[in-house]
Amino acid sequence: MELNNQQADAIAAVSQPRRGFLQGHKLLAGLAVLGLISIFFKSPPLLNWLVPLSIAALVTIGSWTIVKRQRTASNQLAAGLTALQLRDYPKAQSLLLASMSRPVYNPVQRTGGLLALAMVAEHQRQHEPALRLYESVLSSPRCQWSQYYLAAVAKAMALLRLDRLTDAVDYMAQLEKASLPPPSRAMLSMVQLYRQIQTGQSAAALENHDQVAVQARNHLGTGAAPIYGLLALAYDRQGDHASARPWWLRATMLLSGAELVHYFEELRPLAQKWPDVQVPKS
Amino acid sequence: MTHIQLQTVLARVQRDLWLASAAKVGLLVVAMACLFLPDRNSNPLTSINTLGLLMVCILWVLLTLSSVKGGQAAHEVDTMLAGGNYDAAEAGLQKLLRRFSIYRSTKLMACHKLAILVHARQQFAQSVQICRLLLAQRLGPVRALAIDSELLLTDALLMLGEMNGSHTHLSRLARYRLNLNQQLTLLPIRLGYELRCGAPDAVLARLETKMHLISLMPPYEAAQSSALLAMAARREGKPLLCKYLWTKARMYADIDRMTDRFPELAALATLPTLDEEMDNHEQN
Repeated sequence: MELNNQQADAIAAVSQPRRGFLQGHKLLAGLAVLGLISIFFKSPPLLNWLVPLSIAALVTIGSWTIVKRQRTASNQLAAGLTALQLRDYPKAQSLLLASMSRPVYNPVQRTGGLLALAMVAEHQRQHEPALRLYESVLSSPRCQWSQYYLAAVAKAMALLRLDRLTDAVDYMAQLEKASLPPPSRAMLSMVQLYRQIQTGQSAAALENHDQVAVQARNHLGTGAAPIYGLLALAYDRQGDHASARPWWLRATMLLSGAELVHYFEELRPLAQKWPDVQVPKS
Repeated sequence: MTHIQLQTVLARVQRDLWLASAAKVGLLVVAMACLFLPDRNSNPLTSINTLGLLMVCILWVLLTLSSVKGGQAAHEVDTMLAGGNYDAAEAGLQKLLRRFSIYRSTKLMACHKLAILVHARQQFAQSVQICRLLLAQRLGPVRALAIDSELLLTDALLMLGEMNGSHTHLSRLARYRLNLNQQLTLLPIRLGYELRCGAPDAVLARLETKMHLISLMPPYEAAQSSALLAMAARREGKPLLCKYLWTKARMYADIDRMTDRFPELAALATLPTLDEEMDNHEQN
């Protein structure tokens, strides 16, 4: 089942750590006060001995239950992230939804889970829920800087895919000024390249193509494939098929044509024109 | 970090680990004594047992808070290591290792980060020493460190040319159930080991799975693994496969980044890649 807006909002809200009356430290403080009362008020010696022990037992059992529940959620989250890495999207979705359907107290784990779910939504071409999840990551107060910039660049791409061109351009201009880490900078280059191609500025897309390609190769690994694919498309749209071909080869050396088309539907004509490189037997 | 400095640090770590265990046992014994020994004083305010228990609790909380601070400092070291800021990471780790912690896990984690740091600086002999110290400990709640330390140790031994040692630890690793990231770390180590042992057929076995794993790696590791596969294909007399894999390697990184750990890969440098050939063909 595909992720929808309601699910995205619900996950972002439910995964927030609770700030209720029975928050851990308040409960502990209450128990400590109860213990002190039992010590200082005259009570039978057995009770004097029993109350602190019962409190200690209660605290231990409570802590153990919380830790066990958190550990299960944490394991589910890790398994979900692994499934996402292996591009097993249905499995990733079910594991991530299960782990994020209760408060996640580790802020880095929470934002990591939201980001992963947003990527699943992107894969399902559900860009609106993905955008909402990216926005929840960006508004998380204790988000790691690398996760923040990853979400920011992905948000720019989601805006483009939702045809909110003006918002996307404004947001990209803000990101341009920020000191992005190199992988996020390379991802931003891909977003810019896509915008130029989408708006029919293929010539402009090819102006800094060497720099963009080097940046992608150094920082994105296999993730550079869609950039090479977009460069091939830009050349192809310029009518320079001879230059387009080697870029398409580079792209399909890293990812299959079908996977590239899933990233960018615009690449379909190239995938149909040039078949994938097969792994030689000898 | 010099050899003598490392010896001092490791001796301190061992002493602190012993002290942490002793402190924990000591506090527990005092707490039990306060709870169960008879106390004739009927006023709980002046009761030695109550005061003793209170003191133990306060001391435990203070020591825990100090350990938590250490844990936060360890996270900062992680960021420094990830950013390649090794000098700052070393200073942070030295401070962390000097700090007393009642929890052995804090000290063991810091020790593991030190191993990662010296490994990243290619000080493989020192990395071996730290990993061996870690693996000799009772890791308890941080037993996941055992696999990461085994991986570091195997790689360090391979880089030092100690093939027997690498083999022993590769066999030990085969007994663990590795997660995906650990499998990704292990793959280039195993490929390098098999290639250096003169088993290119083993390197090329299950090629499809290996190529899938490579596609999930960061660029540097992906380049190295693909180049090792290309070298194995060359040794097996498969020129087309060799060219394909070498092209793939070059998609990820420059040659010098691949040869710093495996100098034997320099022999592939003159090989043209498929895209270069295509570029030349189109130009002609």
